[in-house]
Amino acid sequence: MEQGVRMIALGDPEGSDKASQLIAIASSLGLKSSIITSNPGENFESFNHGAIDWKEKMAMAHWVVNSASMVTAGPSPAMAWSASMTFAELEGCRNVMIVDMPSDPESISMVWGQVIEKVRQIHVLFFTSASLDAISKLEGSDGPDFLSRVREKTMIPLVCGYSESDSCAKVAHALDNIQAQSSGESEGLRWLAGFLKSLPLSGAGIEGIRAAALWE
Amino acid sequence: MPLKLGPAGVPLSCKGRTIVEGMDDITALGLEAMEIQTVRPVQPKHFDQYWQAGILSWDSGIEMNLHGPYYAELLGKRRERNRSLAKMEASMQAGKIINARHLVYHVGPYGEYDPGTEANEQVANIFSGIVDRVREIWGEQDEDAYTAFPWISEQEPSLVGIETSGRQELWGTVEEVLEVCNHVEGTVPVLNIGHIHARGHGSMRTSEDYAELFDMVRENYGGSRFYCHFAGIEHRMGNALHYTQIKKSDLKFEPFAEFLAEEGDWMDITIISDSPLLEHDAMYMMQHYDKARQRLMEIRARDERRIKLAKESGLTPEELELLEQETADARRREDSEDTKPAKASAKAPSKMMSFDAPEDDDDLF
Repeated sequence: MEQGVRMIALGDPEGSDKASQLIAIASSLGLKSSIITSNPGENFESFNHGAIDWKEKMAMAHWVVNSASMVTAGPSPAMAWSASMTFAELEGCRNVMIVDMPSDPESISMVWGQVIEKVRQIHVLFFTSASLDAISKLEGSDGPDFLSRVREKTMIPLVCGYSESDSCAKVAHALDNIQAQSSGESEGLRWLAGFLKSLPLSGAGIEGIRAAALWE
Repeated sequence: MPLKLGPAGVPLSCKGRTIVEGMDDITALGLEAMEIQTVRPVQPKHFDQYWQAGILSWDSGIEMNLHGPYYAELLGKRRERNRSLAKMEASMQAGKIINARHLVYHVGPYGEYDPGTEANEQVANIFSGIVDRVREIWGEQDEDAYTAFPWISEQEPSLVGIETSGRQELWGTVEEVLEVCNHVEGTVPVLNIGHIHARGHGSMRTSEDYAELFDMVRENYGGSRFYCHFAGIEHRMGNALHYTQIKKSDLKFEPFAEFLAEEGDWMDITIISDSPLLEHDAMYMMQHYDKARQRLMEIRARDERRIKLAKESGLTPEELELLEQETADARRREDSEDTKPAKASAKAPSKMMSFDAPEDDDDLF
């Protein structure tokens, strides 16, 4: 059996979305990772998402990564986004959702609403620095305990965020809140890639999560 | 027994993402209810979609329900409470348009209150206002509205559901919910079985646990209409941690199905699947309920046959059951005796010393 943590993501063909960026960083850290996207020559907005063999793609994968703004990329990516999370649940993979800012900041409320509809399927929720500010304002809860409050509200096991102001990644879990100093490379995506790489191997319980969060 | 099952949201397998497309899928799957989450902010395009869903529900009989904001702080300070109520207003408006039978709300953390009468009174006051507002909204219409929303004149306004919570720091034990529902007309308890199981440290294990729960609700609240949520749940120290598929949880649906099949004749119940596998788990529940009913029918048919045979042979059903038992035992003994000589003959030819110890009833080990 092939060893090592494996990650897949739904991304656009240009690789400009956060999930694709995470995959690129994860590959550089040694994770086996791949991107699911439209075929060459296909329009990403309306690509044939029904042709994706999720079962095959998810074989042996630990993590399925999506970025929240993908729902604004067109009808096909939005449907593939939704389908990927359901298949992940069925295939025993864990869903990771990167909450990022959509190209039109006005639509953050809609994007966040779509994420809320999926909270039951998400295992790791990660806010980029910009989205952390925007969502906390939207929720009217901009205190230091915002991540914990989101975790309590949504019951997502791991709610993480990167704060640019104090160069720090934070993890809210039912058993503790963890802070990890981070280089902040790529808006905290490098930290997230390392965290996801370490988490399946770092042992059970809060100590395992702490060890994974402090990987840098 | 009227049992309606459905998902909390547009089915995951639905090709489209609109509520109406979701309702088509629900009908195709043989489900009969749906609970939708209010999106925020509610825009005119959403109202259009809600209205189409309302018309479809009116024509098809699919029970529509609406879940309010995913989190509220009704026991918080005035600012927090008002913010929660402002979010709820959108769901109340949408509830009328979609012909929602239930509007489901959480209360949120205890805030500055201790669990007890004072907190319950405050919740009752707030929900009394919510019920009034829902009725006010349903009452606001002109002549044209009757044509557009036929249910306004022919249906009662949505009932306001108060959901049980899954964490110790959140208001919403079964007792608290029942007490408030008892005091505020127009409210109904929403029994989130996953939450009750988590809060009770894994309490919902057998069909007797369900009988106890529903008896308590019947005694304290009355009525036979129930609205429940069901999903697998991970929990720790009396707190819900995460929703999971039913198959992956220690909260099983089989005992609930068994209870519904055996003792649920008096109930009119809607069960919403809020598992990560929405409609898949709703179907799973339907299958288990059908199985439990089938099993029960088989048992009843056997009992009826026994009564009939007993009458024919001039015995009481109990005597006949005893007779059947004896016959079955005798047959079992005969079968075992048939196999014994074969074993004995297999051993007989060997004249070697056996290390098999003879059976010794006194030897406990």
